[in-house]
Amino acid sequence: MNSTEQVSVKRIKIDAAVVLPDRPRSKIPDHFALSIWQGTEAETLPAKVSHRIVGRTHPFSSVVEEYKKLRIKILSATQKKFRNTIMVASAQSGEGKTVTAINLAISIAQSLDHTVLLVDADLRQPSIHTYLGINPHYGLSDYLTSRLNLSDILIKTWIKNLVFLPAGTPQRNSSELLASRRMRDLVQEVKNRYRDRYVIFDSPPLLPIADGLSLSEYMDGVLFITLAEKTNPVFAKQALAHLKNRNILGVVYNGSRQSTSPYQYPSYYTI
Amino acid sequence: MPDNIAFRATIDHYTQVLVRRKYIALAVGLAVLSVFTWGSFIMPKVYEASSTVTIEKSGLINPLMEGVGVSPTEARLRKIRSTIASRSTIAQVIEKLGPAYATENETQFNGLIKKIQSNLKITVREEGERRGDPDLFTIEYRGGDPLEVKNFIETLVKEFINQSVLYQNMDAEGVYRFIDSQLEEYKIKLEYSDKSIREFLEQNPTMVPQSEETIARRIENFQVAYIEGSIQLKELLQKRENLRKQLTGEKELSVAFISESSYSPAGFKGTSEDRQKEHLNTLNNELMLLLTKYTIDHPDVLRLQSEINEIQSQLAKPKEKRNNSGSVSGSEMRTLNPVYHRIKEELSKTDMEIDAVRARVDELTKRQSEGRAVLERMPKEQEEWTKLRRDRTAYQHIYDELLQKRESARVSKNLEMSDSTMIFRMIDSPILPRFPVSPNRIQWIVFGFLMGIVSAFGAAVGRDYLDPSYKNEQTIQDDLHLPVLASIPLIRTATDHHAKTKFDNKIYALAAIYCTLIGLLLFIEILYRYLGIRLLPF
Repeated sequence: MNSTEQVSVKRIKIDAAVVLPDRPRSKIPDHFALSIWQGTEAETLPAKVSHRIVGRTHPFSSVVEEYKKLRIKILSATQKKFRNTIMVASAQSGEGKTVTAINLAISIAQSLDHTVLLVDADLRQPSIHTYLGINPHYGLSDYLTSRLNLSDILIKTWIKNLVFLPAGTPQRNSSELLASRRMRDLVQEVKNRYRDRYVIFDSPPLLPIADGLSLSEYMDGVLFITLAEKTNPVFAKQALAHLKNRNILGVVYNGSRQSTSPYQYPSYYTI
Repeated sequence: MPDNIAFRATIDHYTQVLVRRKYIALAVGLAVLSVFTWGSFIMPKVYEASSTVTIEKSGLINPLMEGVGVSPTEARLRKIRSTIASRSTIAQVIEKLGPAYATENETQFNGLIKKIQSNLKITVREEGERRGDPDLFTIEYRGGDPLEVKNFIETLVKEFINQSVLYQNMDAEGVYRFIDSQLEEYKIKLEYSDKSIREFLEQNPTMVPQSEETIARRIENFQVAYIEGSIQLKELLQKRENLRKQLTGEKELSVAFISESSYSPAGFKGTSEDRQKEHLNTLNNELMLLLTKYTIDHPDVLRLQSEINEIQSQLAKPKEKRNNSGSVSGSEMRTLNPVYHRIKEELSKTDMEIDAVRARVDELTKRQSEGRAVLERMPKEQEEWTKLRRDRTAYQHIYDELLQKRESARVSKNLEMSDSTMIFRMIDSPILPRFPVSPNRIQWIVFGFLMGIVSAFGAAVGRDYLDPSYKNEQTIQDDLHLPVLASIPLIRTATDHHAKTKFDNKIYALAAIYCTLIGLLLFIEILYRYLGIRLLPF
């Protein structure tokens, strides 16, 4: 190990935040989603895509490698019986559910054998569209409350094999909507339509509201998210107690400051 | 090797904690540093002045004084400490210093005395203690005004030295008086003890200090003598009985017939009456002669007396009667029976011996009784006697010692009155203190830096310890019993990173500037204290 590497490794140990270089500004207009829907996948990213969507913005970063590891483990655990509906949940808000759901979806979508439908099931505070830089007109809530067709609300993203189902108009009775028969039918529909599709649901936090609990009934597996230095063990246990009879695939530890391996490349050299 | 890895892991862990909690660590560290630094400026300054005093002893006299009743130095040093800090000494110093220590009432004055006493410190100098000669001591006084403390300590030491001779004399005189009073007391006790012994002997005249064996032997001797006396008494009583029987067989007088011719003495030609008279005279002369040798009870005297009485009674009878009765050719003459008188004499003698032996036997009986009584009460008497003797011996011993010590004290007193044993000298005069002894800003600031570092680390670790959130994968696995599928690093863009770095750098710069400012204060204080260069007016 040369001196440069030593210095870099040391920095990782002290503060393991991955520093991503700023991406070049895009000249694509804000209403990029419309053009996506029109089936013209953009070559460059929309201006409002969050830097946290590393699977697309920084595809060679170490963070992406971690998501790839997550993808492998998820596929390994679900591929045999093809349990393809996965809910991403956490005890409280702000622990990285949405970012994890998006990056996991991108990672699976980038695999050669699977397509992904990313569903924003947080009907109260939807945010996936913001991360993706999309401004959808309709979404899941609209589908559940009206006679819209599923194909009317799906958005094909700029990532190949990744389709996005936005949350739609925020609703007060989101819990009831998610527990409704139409929602169950929707899940069955998207689950069974394609044999190679994974459906990833970004759910509301489990403890403050019941939406996530309602949604988890239809899921093949639940991915539980924790955030370093924030997630309280007591709350985490309470949330998992709610999911007692669900299939918990595992835990994702977000915001780690520790180097996971002494062989990890520093971020500067992986990008 | 595993230890080394564990050590590095520990170092890494705490480094991460510090990085994670750097803001709280910086805040606490700087706060602690500020408290110590600015506290040293806010705290009231305390100045100290000191003076060293030595006790010079006479090299000639002290060796002579060793072992004498009064210790000249060691005992006195303890007294000196209390003397200097005494209320009277401090009051005199206050009086001399005048208005600077003026008080309005007694309460304020008492408070001032107590305050001064608490600020006064008297210590034996180490070099003196090492020599085993603790006659070098330092008097220190602390106060808020450097001039005030200097004047106070100077006045106090002078006042003490001036009074020391007086104290010495008072001490010696006091010791002499004390011993003298003790001597008088023991003299009285001794006299009382003598009196008690005399009274005891008077009340117990037989109580002679002797052993029980001696008394028992004496009682046994009395017993033997008593038996012998009893036997002798019985013999005498028997003898007296025999004599009395003999006496009853004898007549007191015997009768003799005397013719007139034969009766007249040779050559005497007178009548019968004349011859009797002549014979009476002769008998009287013999009686007088005997009385010069014997008592009136002597048998010869009694016989002669009886014969004289008989003749006198013959002469006193009328002549006719005498002639009628003397119708015979001679006259009848009654004389004392010598056997009778000899027995009677022997009887009388025996009676006397009986009386003597009886008296002796009685005396022996009495002696025996007394001896037994003494033997019975001997333990108690002996105990009392022993106590009296012991007390008396003890009193006598103490009295003798006190007498000796009083003489020694007299010598000591005379020596000290001549001021030849101890001299107090001020070898280090108090100087005007330039720097306060408290707070020592250098110490406070350096200590503040150290405490700042320690408290910063403590705050970071403490905060991290109190934070229950997950900080590594292993904790999650152990706590939730679920596999951790991925550990996603903290994602930060270059812009965010630069912004954060910029923010951090600002914080670090501010902290560094602040620390430099305090370091500058420390440097200025060092210059002032050690080089006398004063850059700041405070």
